[in-house]
Amino acid sequence: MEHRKVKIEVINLSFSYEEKKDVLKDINLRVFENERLSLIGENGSGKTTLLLCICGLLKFKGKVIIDGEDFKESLRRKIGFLFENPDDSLFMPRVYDDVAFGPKNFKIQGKLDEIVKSSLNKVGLKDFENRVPHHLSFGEKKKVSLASLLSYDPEIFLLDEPTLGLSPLARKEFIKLVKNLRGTVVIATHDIDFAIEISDRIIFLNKGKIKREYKENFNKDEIIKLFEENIT
Amino acid sequence: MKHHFIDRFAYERGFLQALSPIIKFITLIFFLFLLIILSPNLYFYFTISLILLILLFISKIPFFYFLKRIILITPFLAVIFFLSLLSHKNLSQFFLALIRSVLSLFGVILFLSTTKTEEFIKIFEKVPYGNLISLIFSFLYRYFYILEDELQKMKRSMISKGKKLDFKSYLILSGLLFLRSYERSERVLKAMISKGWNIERLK
Repeated sequence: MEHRKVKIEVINLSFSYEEKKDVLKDINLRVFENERLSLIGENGSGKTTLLLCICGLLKFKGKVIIDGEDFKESLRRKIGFLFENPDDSLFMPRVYDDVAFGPKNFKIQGKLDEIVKSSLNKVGLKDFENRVPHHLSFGEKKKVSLASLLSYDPEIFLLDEPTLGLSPLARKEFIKLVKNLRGTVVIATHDIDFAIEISDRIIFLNKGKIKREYKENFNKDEIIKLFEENIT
Repeated sequence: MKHHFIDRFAYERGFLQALSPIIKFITLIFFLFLLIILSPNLYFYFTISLILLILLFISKIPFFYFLKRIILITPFLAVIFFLSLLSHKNLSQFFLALIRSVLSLFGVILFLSTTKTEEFIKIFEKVPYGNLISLIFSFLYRYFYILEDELQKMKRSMISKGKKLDFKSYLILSGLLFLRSYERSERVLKAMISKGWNIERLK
C-alpha cells in the first residue's frame, strides 16, 4: 500500500472551535490514490471536522497536502464533498441547477446539459433534471448530492455520513454507488458494517486523536469493543 | 412534507402562461408604476380590476386561490387603517391604499403563479448583479419550504410533549428557527464553496 502515490497528506493538523478546545489534535495521516479510507468514532470525535479541514473549509493549524501541493483554491476542483444532510448541498430550485452548479463554477468543458444528464444517469436518476429537490425522498436527495459531485469529476471524494438516514434498500443502493466511485474516497461514518464492507483501511478517532488503525480483515467485534471502551 | 409552490399554475395551459416571462415582467412593472403615479380614479380602478379578473379566468387560476393570497396583506392594511385614523386626511387615504395594494398584489400573484420559478429567476441574470439577485431568489424558493418544515416539526414536538402553543411558544420557535437557519446557512455556504463558488465571479 505504502508504495502507492500519496493523494492526501495531513501533517500535524490541529483545530479548535471557539467554544470547544482541541477538536483535532496533531493529526498525521496519509491517504493513497484510489484508497477507500473510513474514519469512525463517537459523536464529536472530529471525523467531520477532519473532512472539512481536508477540503479547506475550515482554518486549521498544520498542513494539508493534495497531490504534493499545499492546499489552495485551485485544488478544490479535485475534491468532492458529500455533506451529511443533502438539504445543505442542494440549494438550487431544480435538480438540474444543483448538478450543474459545480461544472459552471469550475468551468468544466463540454455541454452542460449532457454533463447533468450523464451524472444523474450514473446515480440512477434518469429524467430528474426538472424535479424540485424539496419533493425528493431523502435517498433521492443523497443521490442527487452525489451526482452534483460526479458532474465535475473530482479525484477525491469526502463523504460525511453517506448512509445516515437511509432506508435499508436506499442504503444498499447507495453503497453500490460508493463502491463504483473512481478515485480516492475518505468516509466519515458511524456505520461500522458499511465501513467494513467498503474500506481498505479504517481509522478510529477518539477525542480528536487517531486512536487505532485497522488494515484489512476487519473484526467488527473488536471495533465495537473499542467504541465501548472509549465511551467510558 | 408536500408543499404547493408559488408557480403551481405555471404548468397549466392558459393565456398568461403562454406569454414570455420578460414581457410579463415588464408589463407588471409598468402596471405597478401606473398604479402609483395616476391620480385616484374609480373608473380606472374598476376597468383594471375587470381586466385582471378576466386574466385570472383565462389563465385558469381559481378565484379562491387568489383570495387566499390577498389575505396576506391584511396585517399591513390594518396598520395603514390605524395610521389613517390618526391622520387629518381621514379614511380616504386608507381606501386608496387598500385599492392600490389589492390591485398591485393581484398583478404580482398573476405574474408569479403563471411564471415558472426558474424562468422568473433567469430574468434577473440579464441585469447588472443579476446573478447575485437570482441566487438570492433561488435560495428563497429552495429554503422557504425547508424552514416551514422545520417549524412544523418543532411545533409538533412541543405539542407532543404537552405544550399548548401560545404567544411565548411562538417566540421560542422563532428564536430556534433563526438559530437553525443561521447554522444551516453556514453549512450551505461551505457546500457552495466546496463546489467552487466564489462571490467575486458574480460581480
